[in-house]
Amino acid sequence: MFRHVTLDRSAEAARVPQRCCAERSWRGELSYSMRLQHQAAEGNSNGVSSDTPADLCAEDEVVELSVGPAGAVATTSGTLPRSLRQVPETRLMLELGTSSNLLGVIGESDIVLPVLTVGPEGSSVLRSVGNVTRRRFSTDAAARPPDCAEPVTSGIDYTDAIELSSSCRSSFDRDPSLYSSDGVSAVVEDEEFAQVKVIDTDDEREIARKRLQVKELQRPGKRSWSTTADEASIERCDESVVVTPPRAESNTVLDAHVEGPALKTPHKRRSFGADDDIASDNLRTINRKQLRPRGTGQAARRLTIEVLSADIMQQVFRHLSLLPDLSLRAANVCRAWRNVALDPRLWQELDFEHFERVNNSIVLTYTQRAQGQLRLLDLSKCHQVSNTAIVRIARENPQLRTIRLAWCTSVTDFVVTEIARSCRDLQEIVLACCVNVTSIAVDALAEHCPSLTILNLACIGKIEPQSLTRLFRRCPNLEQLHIVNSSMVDDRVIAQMARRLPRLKYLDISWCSHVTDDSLCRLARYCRELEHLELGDTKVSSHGVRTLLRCCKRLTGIGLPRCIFVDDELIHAILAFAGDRLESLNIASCNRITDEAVRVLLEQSTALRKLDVSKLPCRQLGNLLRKTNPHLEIFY
Amino acid sequence: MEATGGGTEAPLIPGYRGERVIRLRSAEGTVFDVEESTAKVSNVIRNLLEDVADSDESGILLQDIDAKTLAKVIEYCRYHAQPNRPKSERTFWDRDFLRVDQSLLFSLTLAANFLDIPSLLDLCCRYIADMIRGKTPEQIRATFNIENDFTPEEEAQLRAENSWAESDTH
Repeated sequence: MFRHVTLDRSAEAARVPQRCCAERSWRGELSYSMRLQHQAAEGNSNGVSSDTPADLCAEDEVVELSVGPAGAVATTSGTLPRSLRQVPETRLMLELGTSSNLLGVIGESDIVLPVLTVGPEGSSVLRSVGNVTRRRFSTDAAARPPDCAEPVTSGIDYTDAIELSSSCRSSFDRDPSLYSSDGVSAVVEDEEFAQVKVIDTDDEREIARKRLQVKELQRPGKRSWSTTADEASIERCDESVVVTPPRAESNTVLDAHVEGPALKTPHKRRSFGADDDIASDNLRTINRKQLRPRGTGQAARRLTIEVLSADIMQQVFRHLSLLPDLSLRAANVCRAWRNVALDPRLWQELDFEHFERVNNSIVLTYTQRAQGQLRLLDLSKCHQVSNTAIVRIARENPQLRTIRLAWCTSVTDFVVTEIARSCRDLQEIVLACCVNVTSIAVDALAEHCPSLTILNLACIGKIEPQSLTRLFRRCPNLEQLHIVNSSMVDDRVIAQMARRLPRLKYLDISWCSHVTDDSLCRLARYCRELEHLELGDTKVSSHGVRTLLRCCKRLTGIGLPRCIFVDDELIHAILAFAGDRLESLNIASCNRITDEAVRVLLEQSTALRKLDVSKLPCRQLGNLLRKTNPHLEIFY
Repeated sequence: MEATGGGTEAPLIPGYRGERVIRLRSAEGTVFDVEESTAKVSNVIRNLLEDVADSDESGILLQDIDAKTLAKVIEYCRYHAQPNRPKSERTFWDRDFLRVDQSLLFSLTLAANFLDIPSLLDLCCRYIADMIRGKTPEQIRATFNIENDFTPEEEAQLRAENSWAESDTH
């Protein structure tokens, strides 16, 4: 049976205790001391594994644990604190620099350590110790120090004695006096300890005492010192560090890793409790009014959301939708939040699309929060917002990039002209179903907004072909264009478009009944970037679509509802040229397409995700469609 | 920048794949020895290491970060320093990682900001935003223990301002 084991940084040592544990050869003893130490001089790169202390402490008979730098490894992995929790009465000795790592973790945990011995480390360690005890006082009601008015009596059971002991190992090239004396002053500063025991060389003790006195003089009103020795405490300490020599059998197992007590703690045996004449000087029972943990310190440890700076809160708010989460909720929580929430940078994109009840005053209030930096405005279906308000917003926010006014039926040419004049950087404008908008608006956009990339003119009023031609010439960056239900759009217009807009990716010319295969041939020739094409209710046929599919290698979606000239040839063309990339196909009401063709399509196309075959004449489609793959979305 | 080069040898800790070990100190002075790749997830530390070739024994002192937070930050960095993890696994891990109490969440956020770890900061901000989303101002105050410091007049004004949306935003 061992009472004292030292583990140095060799793999051998790391394995041994595990083996011991396994063999249960350690059991039956009341107390062990374990020592994890680091022998840097040997430069052995092997070390005590982080599992070792856990394994040892799991035996819950280790009462004394000295931790060297190996503690750093162990605590990083979190096993040491865990194991300490299993052994609440462990007497812990921290001897070397890296052990402060451990202390920090202990400080955060709820481990109660009756006695803590700290080696020659600087004030940083002791600050950590401060955390330990502060924590202890605050969590353990029984250990709560007396009230300010009550004096600390010698009989009181405070055992958070901090022994400041200088390590005797000279191989660690440090000046012990520096560390220890700093340490004492740090302890004093922290004002958290019931007792401070200084166990060290005479010189060092002298330095420490001087520091204490200086501190005392500096703040005479803050604490009172008692120089009475606490005999009971000393006895306890002395008892708990009793180390008996290892028995003979231990040597056979642990070989050189077991050290005798003389090697281990020569300095500790010099406890000043033995020297009665100087005990009163060296063991100071610090009786302080501030023993109770400072309320502010405790509060500071519990952080609330108020610690986050305005910048960080702004980043948080960026992840909230402007409406309703930010504007209606977060902004109304408190003044600080409101100030952050009203930062103009958060108000650059205003989307009222699902808030159709907004009126002029709301929209103006919100847009003014952007302080002229508004980038996006979506007023789709906001019928209560007047033309005057829209014009005012456009004039106040020249940097608008996107404006969506779908279904704002009151919008007129004047409004669009004003927007075009004010916002030269406009990239997207949606005027779908603004029935009062005509060619004049299109002319204004062509004249003032050369960077337009998305233009939606679906179902607006009458557009002249000349206006469209001008638009294509002035806005060569257009990538997405919707010109739905315009009787003026014919093959000639599309030919112009194809030649002028090589970057076109999305084109919707549904309901433009004069469009035929000629248009498709032009598009196939010039617009090789096309990705999606809507051709519902046009006069195109399978032949035109075939040309298109052959030339436009990026085409992944095509809509051909109610195209009466489209027949089975379309399906063959798709399978021939785009079977592996076409994702979306709409052939609703294309009555010439047969069951057989649809079946072949479903069987052979690999990329298809969306298929609309509604109102096709075939009645057996039900069976056919049921067999298809689950990723395919079918409308029928 | 070799681990074994020169006279000032960086501490080598077993199991760290022979990488250079960077020593970090928390506010309390707690020492954390971490792999270089882990430490370099933080832009601040990366820049620091580029400026200073050899880190000395005392390590890098991070005065504003306590030990508990730093341990958590290192946990994050260590996970994310390893390449070739599937994105879904990372997402799952991230979500689990932030299941901590509010106090630690906020100190983590501050640390991520201080150490310039954009992904962690963004993760924290998203997490906090998720805590806010869908709640009424009263619920938000209760969640974060915030005091309502608006005067009754101000509150009446705010209520009037937001009255238009009441039926839209239940």
